[in-house]
Amino acid sequence: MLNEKEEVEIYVFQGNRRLASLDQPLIATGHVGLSLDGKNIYGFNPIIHKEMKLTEIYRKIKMRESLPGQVTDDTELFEKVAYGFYNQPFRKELELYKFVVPIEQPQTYLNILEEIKNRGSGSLYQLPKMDVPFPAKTYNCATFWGKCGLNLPHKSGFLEDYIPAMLQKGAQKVKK
Amino acid sequence: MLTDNEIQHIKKVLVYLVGRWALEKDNHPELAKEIVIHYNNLVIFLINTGWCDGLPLEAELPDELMPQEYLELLEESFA
Repeated sequence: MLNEKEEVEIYVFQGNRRLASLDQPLIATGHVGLSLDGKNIYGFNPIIHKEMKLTEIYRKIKMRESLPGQVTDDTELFEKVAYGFYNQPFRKELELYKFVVPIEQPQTYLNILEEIKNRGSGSLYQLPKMDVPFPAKTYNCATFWGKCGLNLPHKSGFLEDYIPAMLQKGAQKVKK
Repeated sequence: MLTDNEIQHIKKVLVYLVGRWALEKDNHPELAKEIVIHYNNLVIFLINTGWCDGLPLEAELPDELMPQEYLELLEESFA
């Protein structure tokens, strides 16, 4: 009998480019992560090699180019956001929210496990355009887990839509 | 000085303008240019109210289309 979990946790924060150092682009983009056990949080993001210039990556992302994507264990990033590690005086603090999503089909849980195991291999990363669906096999951090069958708080892929939708459904602010 | 709530509304409009620009930039460049003008006016308005924070990447156009005033804020961040 497979272990069938009944819910997962979604974590999200909106980005702020003025708080993002050159080695932490996810602070500029904002990020969404998923946890099966309340401990490890996994997120989908573009693959960035060390030799790539971050300004060029930002440009590609903003031009809505599709980039090879990956699922990574981003627990430390979310922990740091929760602790206020990236915050700076006179700037709006990063706000981390948690939302519990019920899993309606056991297959959804298995699909999530598979994506974590395969590190999201074969999926492309892209920011959304207005009012059009993502191309095939293309996602951003906010839409990725939807491919597994998870019921997303909002489907546009814009965190500016996603976070208010989560809050409306009862998401809680996380602060440590 | 704007309230957080007012700033939040403006940021949402910026995200949507960028999303529309991304949609139109290849097929309707004239419309995309118009969106860039409206976007720039809105960011400059925000800065003129005293706002000096950063935007998320989903709310930014490519740097060459961003207003100089915003790029100067970024330069101060990790100079």
